[in-house]
Amino acid sequence: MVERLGRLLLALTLGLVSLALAAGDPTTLTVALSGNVETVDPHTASSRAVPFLENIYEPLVGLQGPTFELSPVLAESVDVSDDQTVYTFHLRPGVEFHDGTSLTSEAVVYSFERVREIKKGPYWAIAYLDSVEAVDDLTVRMTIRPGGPPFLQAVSMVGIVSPTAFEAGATADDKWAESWAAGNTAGTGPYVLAELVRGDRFVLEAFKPYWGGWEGPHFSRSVMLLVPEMATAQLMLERGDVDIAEQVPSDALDSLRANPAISVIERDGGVRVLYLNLNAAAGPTADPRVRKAINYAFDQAAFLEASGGSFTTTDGPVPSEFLGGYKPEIPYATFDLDEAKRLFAEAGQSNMTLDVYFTTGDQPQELAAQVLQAYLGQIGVTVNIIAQDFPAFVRAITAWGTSERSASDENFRMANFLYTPPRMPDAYAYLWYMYHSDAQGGLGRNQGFYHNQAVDDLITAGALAVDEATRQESYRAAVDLIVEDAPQVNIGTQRMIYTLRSDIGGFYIHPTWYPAIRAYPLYRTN
Amino acid sequence: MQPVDMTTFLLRRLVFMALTVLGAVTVTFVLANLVPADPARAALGPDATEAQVANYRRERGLDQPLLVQYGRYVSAMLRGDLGTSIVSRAPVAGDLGKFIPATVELLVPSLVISVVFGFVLGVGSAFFRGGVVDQLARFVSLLGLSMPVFWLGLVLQLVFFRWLGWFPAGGRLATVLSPPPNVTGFYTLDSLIAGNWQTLQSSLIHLVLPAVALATLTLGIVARMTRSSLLDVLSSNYVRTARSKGLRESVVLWKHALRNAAVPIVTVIGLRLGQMFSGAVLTETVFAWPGVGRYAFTALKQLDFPVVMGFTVWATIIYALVNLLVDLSYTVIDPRVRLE
Repeated sequence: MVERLGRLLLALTLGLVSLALAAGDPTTLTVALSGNVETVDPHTASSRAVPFLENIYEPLVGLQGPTFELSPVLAESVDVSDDQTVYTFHLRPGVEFHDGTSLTSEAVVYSFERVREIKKGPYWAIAYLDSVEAVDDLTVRMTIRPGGPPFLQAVSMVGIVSPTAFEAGATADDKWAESWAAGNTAGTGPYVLAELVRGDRFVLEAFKPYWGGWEGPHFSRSVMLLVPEMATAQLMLERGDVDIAEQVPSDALDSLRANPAISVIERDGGVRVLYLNLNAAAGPTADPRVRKAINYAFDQAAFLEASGGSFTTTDGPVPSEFLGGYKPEIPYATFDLDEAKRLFAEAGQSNMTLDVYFTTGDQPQELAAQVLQAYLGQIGVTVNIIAQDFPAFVRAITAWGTSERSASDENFRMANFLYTPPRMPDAYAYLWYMYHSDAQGGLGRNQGFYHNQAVDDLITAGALAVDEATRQESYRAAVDLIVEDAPQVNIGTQRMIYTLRSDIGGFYIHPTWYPAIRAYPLYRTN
Repeated sequence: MQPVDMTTFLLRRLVFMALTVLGAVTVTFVLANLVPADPARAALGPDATEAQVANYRRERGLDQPLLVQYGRYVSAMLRGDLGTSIVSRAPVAGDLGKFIPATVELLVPSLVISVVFGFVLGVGSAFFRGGVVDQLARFVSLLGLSMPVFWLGLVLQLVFFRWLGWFPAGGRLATVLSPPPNVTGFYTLDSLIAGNWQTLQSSLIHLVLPAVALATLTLGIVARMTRSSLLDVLSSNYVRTARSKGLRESVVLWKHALRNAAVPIVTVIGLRLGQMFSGAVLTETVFAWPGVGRYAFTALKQLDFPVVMGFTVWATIIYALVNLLVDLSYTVIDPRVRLE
């Protein structure tokens, strides 16, 4: 009896094991995503989810290769008026939506109107859009107010949706089908969302009538698994259960590099920068000498080493990629405790206390705060490191906008960390969102109440400039002035690291904030 | 109090349960509104304009007085409507309906493993006190009690997935397969209903590692509790009497001792069950298991209040139900216990 039971169990186990081993499928791309994608609505999704959604929804123009150059996607060409306020898009003919309808100018108008009405997701980017109208079936004209972000960059953030499908999903009290679109899709992209198991997986299947065609090697199916634990993702990658792991533990990178079955693809000089904002309006940090002293006391080399190679040096207020390679001279970027001590004394702040806020669970922020604490402690400055949950952090930084801006205000902050501005590959995003006076609180991320009228004027002049040379000139001048005022500590630039199986071809890292895993250009080499 | 019949007892307990749930909802509601964060801001992120935030508040009734919001919530809850998630816009009740079965499917085998093995180990070590079995049981329980589940999970993955390749690392189903048609929400049962052997096999094999990882802590507790409770009983007078009557040792153990030792064991199992039901967050995270614990934990981080509230309701009901079952089981185990 016992023997028979044992044999049965053995047979069952072997059966199960053989099934487990037979999991690989050459035509399917399997990806371990580290973060959750809560909604598949391209017009309400956070910037974290937008890159993933580019498998399904496409913009008129977009970032296609590994550069910041925009290329035509659903629009074949764009005519721009001389004053850069009227943009005429000529749509690609013969493009089909996943619901079988055709792409017409009406769909473009509907998509932009939807973003403007529901005021979520990429709305901030197209706030300067005045009107959008269909000229004929395949021509759309958009008129904007000057002075905003580069408009084509803004357009690249709006995915075009099928009005037929979305209107069918609308209800009386949900005119723009927000509930429907949170779990259903109808785009023009190379893949259709075939299956959505929330909290578990997304299954994408090739859309046969895709306008880009299916010539050459492609995956016909892609499974995006949510694997929250990085160590698990690493093991799955090593066994070949997943082809790409979005994130693995940083201490696993060396062993992965040594593994011939795995490629570790890295890119320096990304555009995701970590800053420590200092309050320029109130408290001891209102004195630029104190802000410079804090900069002198921050040992960037020590931070970079402690980060295990996940960060590199910074270029200054704006990554040089967006300033035509321009890197300003920053004297206080060098680590010099004596100079720091001298400046603190000169400002009469030799025994000050610095409160540094960081977001709970963000290791680089905590590490940077600790580095600062260690060195400032040596010269008599106490650093209080204060952890705060993300929602409370968001409220606090936005509540600043309505505060008295004095050290006695309950919302007063001395210093807190900030990752780059919202996703837009242009110097405007950095300059306006972080340093323009209008970006204090509310819309924008000028969380230190930095104010310099000359900087404001230069940013505005750059945004209004019609030719690129003038624009660059204004922006570089603004950067020089910001460097002089030292409104922040430049902590480090995040390196972009992806780990994938060596037999995956066509992979490149796009140097944007949250790189997309686009299945279309990828293929299996063997 | 006077002993009462079963119906009166149950009715009374159900009324208390309803009050408990209402109490928990009230406390959570108040606490959620005391958190120094703005759910509208949290949902829209730092890039949203003030107008966007105001619009959002109006849309969701977040601009109404707190008491009005509370009244609305409770009355909707009584109709089975737990609101919609701020982040995903999906109805919370529907989400719970999807995520709870995943957790329960993980929990049942894990509970079976921990109770069966824990009980056997406990009985063995009490009976052969100080012997090899006792030492082994002590070691195993100590390991189960002291090992963090996420660490154990990673070790299991390393050995049985990475090195041996016997079991998958995470998820509920192989990536090449689609879930069976949804009837119960349990992939194993739904596969049986659909007669799909492939998904049945795959969902079973995906259960092994997380269920074992989740079982260890409870196993340790059950083993220790069984041992100490049984030792207590074995040294009591009536066991000595039974032995002196010349009863066989197995009869003494199974008929006299175990039944009396069972009450504290059942209590402990009940407590653990409540905790496990309300979500094995760490296990679910390590094994990429889309269960209710991970769902609630993610929601908490994002301040998704409707989800947090809905989860509270569920967890409270489960705790109250398990307590009730434990109390009822006492009357079965020990006839001296009366319903009051």
